[in-house]
Amino acid sequence: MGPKEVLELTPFMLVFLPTLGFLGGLLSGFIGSGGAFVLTPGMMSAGVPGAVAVASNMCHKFPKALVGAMKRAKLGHVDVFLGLVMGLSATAGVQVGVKIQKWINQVWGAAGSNLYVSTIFVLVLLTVGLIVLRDAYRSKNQQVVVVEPGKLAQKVQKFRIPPMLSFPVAKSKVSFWITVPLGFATGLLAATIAVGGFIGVPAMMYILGASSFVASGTELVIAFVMGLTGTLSWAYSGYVDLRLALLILFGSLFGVQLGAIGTSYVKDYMIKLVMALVMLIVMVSRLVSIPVYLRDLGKLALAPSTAELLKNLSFAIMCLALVVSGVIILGAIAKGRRAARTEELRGISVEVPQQP
Amino acid sequence: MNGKQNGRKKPWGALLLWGALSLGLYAVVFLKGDAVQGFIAEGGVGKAAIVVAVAIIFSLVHGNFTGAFFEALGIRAKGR
Repeated sequence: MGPKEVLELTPFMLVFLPTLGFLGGLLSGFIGSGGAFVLTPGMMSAGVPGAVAVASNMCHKFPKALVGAMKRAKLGHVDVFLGLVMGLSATAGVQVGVKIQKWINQVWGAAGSNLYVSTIFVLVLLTVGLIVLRDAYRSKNQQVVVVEPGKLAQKVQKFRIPPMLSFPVAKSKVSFWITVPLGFATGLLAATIAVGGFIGVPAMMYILGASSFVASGTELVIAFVMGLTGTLSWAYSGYVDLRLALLILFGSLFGVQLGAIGTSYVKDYMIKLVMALVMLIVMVSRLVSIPVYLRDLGKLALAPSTAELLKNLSFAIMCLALVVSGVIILGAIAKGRRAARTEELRGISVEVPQQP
Repeated sequence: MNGKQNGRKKPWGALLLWGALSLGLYAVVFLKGDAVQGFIAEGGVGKAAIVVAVAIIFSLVHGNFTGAFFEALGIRAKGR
C-alpha cells in the first residue's frame, strides 16, 4: 500500500493506540523518552504500513514532548539551551545515520540491515542499561544525595577550548567542541536504534554532568526538535497519518502530564532505575528477534511457527517494558502522595498545641 | 504539599472549556477523517506545515485539558 491511499481505521486501533499512547506518554514524562520503541511495531501489528507507522509515531512525538517539556519546565527540570544545542546537533547526526543505514541496506539487504540494527541495539542498550542500573543502585544506597557531577563529567568540564557553553539549569559549563559532537553522536546512534533518548539522557547525565531530573526533562526538548524536523520530512512525502498520530496523542497527553507529575514525588535514583529497567527489557525483546533475522539471511534453520512465536514474544516483551514502567511510576506517585498527606497531617497536629 | 495547596480551587471552568475545544477538534478530524487524510497524504511543503500546525494546536488544546483534568482530580506536582 502506498502513502496516497487512506488507511481504514479499525475499532481495535481506536482502543489500542490511545492505550499505548498513554503508557508511552507516562514513560516519556518520567524519563524523557520511551514509547516509540513499542508504538511503531504496535501500529504495524495493527495493519499500518511500516513507513506510515514511523511517520505517524514521529508526528505524535513532538507535540507530546512539547507538553511534557512545558510541565517539567515548571518543576525546574528543563535546560532549554542545552536541549536546543543537543537537539539540533542530533538532527544533523540523524541525517548522516540515515545515509549509513541506506548504505547498509544496499550492501547487506533488508535482513542484513535488520541484523546490524539489532546487534547495535542489543550492545548499546545492554552496556548503557547496566551502567545506569549500577548508578541507580549506588544512588539508592547513598545516605546523602551527591549533587556533584561524576568523574567523567568533571574531566569533560575541565576541557575548556572556547566557545564555552553555559547551561544554567543543568549547572554545567561545557565546551562547544564537546557538546555538539556529543549531540551529533546521539543522533547518529538514534538513526540506527531509533531510541535516541536512551542515549541522550545518559549522555547528559554522565558526560555533561546534569542530574537525572534535568537530563530527563531536557530530553523532552531534544525529542521536540528531532520529532519536529522528522515530521516535516515525513509529512513532505505524505507519509504522516494525522488520524493515527492524534489517536496516540489523545492518550499520550494524559500520560505525559502524569509522568511529569510523578518526577516531583521520587528521588533521583528512581528515574535511573525505571530507565535502566526499560532499556534492559527492550534489549531482551530485540535479542529474542535476532534468530529470525539470522534465518532470513540463511544462517540459521528455524521453523516458520518458531519464527512467528519469537516475533510475538519480542512484541509482548516490549509491551511488558511499558507495563512494568507504568506500574513503577504510578506506584511511586501513589506512595509519594500518601507520604505527602501524612506529612501534612503531622504538620497540623504539631501546629495545634502551639496555638494560644 | 500544604493545606493551602490542598484547598486550591479546582479548575472546573478550564476543564470544561479545554475539554469542549479538544472534543470539537477531535470531532472535526475524525468526522472528516478520510477527507483530511486524503488532503494530507498529497505531501509537499504546505501540507507538511499544516500537519505540524495541527499537531501543535492539538497538543496545546488537549494538553491544557489533560493538565486541568489531573488538577481537578487533585493530582498535582509536589512543590520542591
